[in-house]
Amino acid sequence: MSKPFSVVIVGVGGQGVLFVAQLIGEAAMAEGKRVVMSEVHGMAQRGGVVTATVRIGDSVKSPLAAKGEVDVLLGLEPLETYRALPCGSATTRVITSDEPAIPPGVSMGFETYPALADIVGGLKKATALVKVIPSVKIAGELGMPVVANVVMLGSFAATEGCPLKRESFAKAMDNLLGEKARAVNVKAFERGFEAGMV
Amino acid sequence: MDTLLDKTVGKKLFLLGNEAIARGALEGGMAIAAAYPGTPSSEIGNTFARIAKEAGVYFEFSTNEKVAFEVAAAASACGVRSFTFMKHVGLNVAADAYMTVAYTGVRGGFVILSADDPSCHSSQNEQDNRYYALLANIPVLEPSDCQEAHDMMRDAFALSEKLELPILMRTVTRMNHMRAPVTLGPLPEPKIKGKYVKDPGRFVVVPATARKSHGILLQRMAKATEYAEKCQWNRIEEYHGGGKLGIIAAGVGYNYVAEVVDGQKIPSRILKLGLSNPLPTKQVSDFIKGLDTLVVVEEMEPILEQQIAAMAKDVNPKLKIIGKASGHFSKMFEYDMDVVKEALGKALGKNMTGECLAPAPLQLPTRPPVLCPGCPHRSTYYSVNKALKGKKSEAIFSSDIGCYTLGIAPPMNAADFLLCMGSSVDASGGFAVAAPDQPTMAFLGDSTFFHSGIHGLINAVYNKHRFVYTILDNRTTAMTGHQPNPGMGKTAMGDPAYEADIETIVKACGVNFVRVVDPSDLKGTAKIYEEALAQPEVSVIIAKRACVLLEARDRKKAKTFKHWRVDPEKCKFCHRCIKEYGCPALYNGDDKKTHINPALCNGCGVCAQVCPFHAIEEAKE
Repeated sequence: MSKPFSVVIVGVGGQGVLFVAQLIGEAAMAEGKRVVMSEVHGMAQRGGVVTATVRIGDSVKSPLAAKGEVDVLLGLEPLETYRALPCGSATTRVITSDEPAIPPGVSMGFETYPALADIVGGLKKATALVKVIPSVKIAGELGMPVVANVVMLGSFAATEGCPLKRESFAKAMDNLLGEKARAVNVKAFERGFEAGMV
Repeated sequence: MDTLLDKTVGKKLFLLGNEAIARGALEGGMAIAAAYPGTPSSEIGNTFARIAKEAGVYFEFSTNEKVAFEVAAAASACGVRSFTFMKHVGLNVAADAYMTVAYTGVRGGFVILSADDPSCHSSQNEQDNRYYALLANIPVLEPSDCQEAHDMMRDAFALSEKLELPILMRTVTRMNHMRAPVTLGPLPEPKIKGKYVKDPGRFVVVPATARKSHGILLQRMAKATEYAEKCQWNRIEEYHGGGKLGIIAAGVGYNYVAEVVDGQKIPSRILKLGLSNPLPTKQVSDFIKGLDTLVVVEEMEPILEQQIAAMAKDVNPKLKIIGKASGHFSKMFEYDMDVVKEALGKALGKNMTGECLAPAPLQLPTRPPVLCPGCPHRSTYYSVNKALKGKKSEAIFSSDIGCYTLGIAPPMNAADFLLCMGSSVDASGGFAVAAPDQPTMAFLGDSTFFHSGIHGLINAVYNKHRFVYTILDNRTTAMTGHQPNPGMGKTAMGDPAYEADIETIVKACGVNFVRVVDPSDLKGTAKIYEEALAQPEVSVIIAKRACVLLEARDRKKAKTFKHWRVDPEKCKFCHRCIKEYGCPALYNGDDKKTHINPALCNGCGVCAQVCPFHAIEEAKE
């Protein structure tokens, strides 16, 4: 029996955390793997933190990962990536977007948003495996900033240790997207995959 | 065809727990369902609203949980398989009917789903509604995963008919919002039409009937216990050779403990209880008889643990029980594998908890949920705060359940008291009597008004309570996902309906001062509030403006969406827009100017009224 694989996806309400998690789950199902996912709905989505977990493996029952058992932390927002870091261990691979979403306390001047260099530096100090993806810049080049989440999914798929095949994500997108939306999402995925290979 | 109505038996779909529940209900022959939306149960209703017509079943969003409950209970009395579902606190609203339906019993299978919320992800408390099952003498099913939730729902209607009792399906957030592959079964033709066969000696609960029915209920529960002893939902699993360590687990707690003993190679046996009330007493006593140690894993209250501990005194007095009484498990919050590892580790003297990262301490800003950019509630609160002038600090903001509760955050600070749905207006009567020198302001939304905001208003007029009652009419039930309500002129299944007029209802309650305002007119709204505050009796303001998420969507479709900008020449960086209005789309730039984040702005443009230097203007491309 193989060790379960766990990925935690974090971000801010509206960034598409749940959609990314669902695509990973559908991709696992397309490969006939046992998969369980946990998502957050309701109050937390009004601009709050959104977290989803996907776990894959024969022995998986819990929709939540145990401490230190997170293989990949996929962050759609750098501050939230950092905040979620305690779920990982020294071997956790961290893939994060570099595009901050400013919380209201910061815009109102009560709090400050840390410098991106400090966030990335902190991530790198905690675990050696950190990739920073300019997801919004890449999505912007495709003319659709909202697909930044699927760019991040592409980088996840390219990451060593991801137990799912590249083509399984294409199948997942077939299942969940209409023809028009699919084209740009597939592009975003491919661009993210390239960025994730580096 | 909707994917959830796929007729391919054996096909696997990647379903949210709530979708698995809806599909399972249809496979179980459910024909009539009624509900009031409430997270974590909301997506069950959204799913039925989407597919009910195509599936040939009836679904309604009722005005509140008690109404929904009674609609479904009556349908069951007509022999139709019926379903009502709600969040845990919704069952408090329906509890009056709930307690007595156990006495009348059912004809058509009747399933009541309570979605509990350990850890209060989106609720005001974390009550354990399995106590309601003990209180009323109603059987409980507790699923652990999506497939089981689907299967239990499928079978619950037939079980309800067999026992002539309603079935309480008790889920938790982590079950409702779990997603996993679910294997589909056949979809039967729903039998939506029944017949009410009169039987007043059973269905009219006058004292003479009720006394007799109570005895019948106890007999039915005795039958339910017999059923529980051999039902498929209660099963024993052996891990790594079994041994003298036993575990009794229910609900999602089972997932955590099963994966931990499996992964950590702990020899043990698990009795998984899916039908946890009535307790299968024989099965449990046989299970605990030869054990040295028993671990009971159930989130929230020690309902199973206390019953089992009482049994163990006779069956196995030396049994060491690891649970809440022993201090190993908490009565608070949801569990996970770490909670189980820590408790088991302490009991077995084995450290199982994994190492986690302790990142270098960085001062991280918080990210609480907030009113959306452009939300009309923000504009209403802004005007109220202006109208109150120096009295803001002593004014009592009696809030309610909905998006507008998020006005609790600065700079609005617009929530001082809240108990439950409808408490804003009811409690304001108490504030008016006990704290007459403090201005009292009640706030609730349109859907909450129909749910439980009317009787409190009648009470306020009747008993001459003086306060200002605001109905934040954003033309939808926003917080739970934009479900329709009686004020919107359409039903859950998309049919046109009478559009209940809140103003007419308020006037009919006997209120003299009633005004409808557009909250996006800040000055006009503040002026009306000044007038309302001067009234000697209850006054009502209906702040009517569609939820900005719907408005922005419509404007984008109609290509009338407006973009806004701050003119850097005019901005004096006074921060008033941020400090007093606080829309999350506004931010202070490093250039010492305020900016509008175009990715967040929903285009309402109200902030332009707040700026004293007229620096905010429409952005022409």
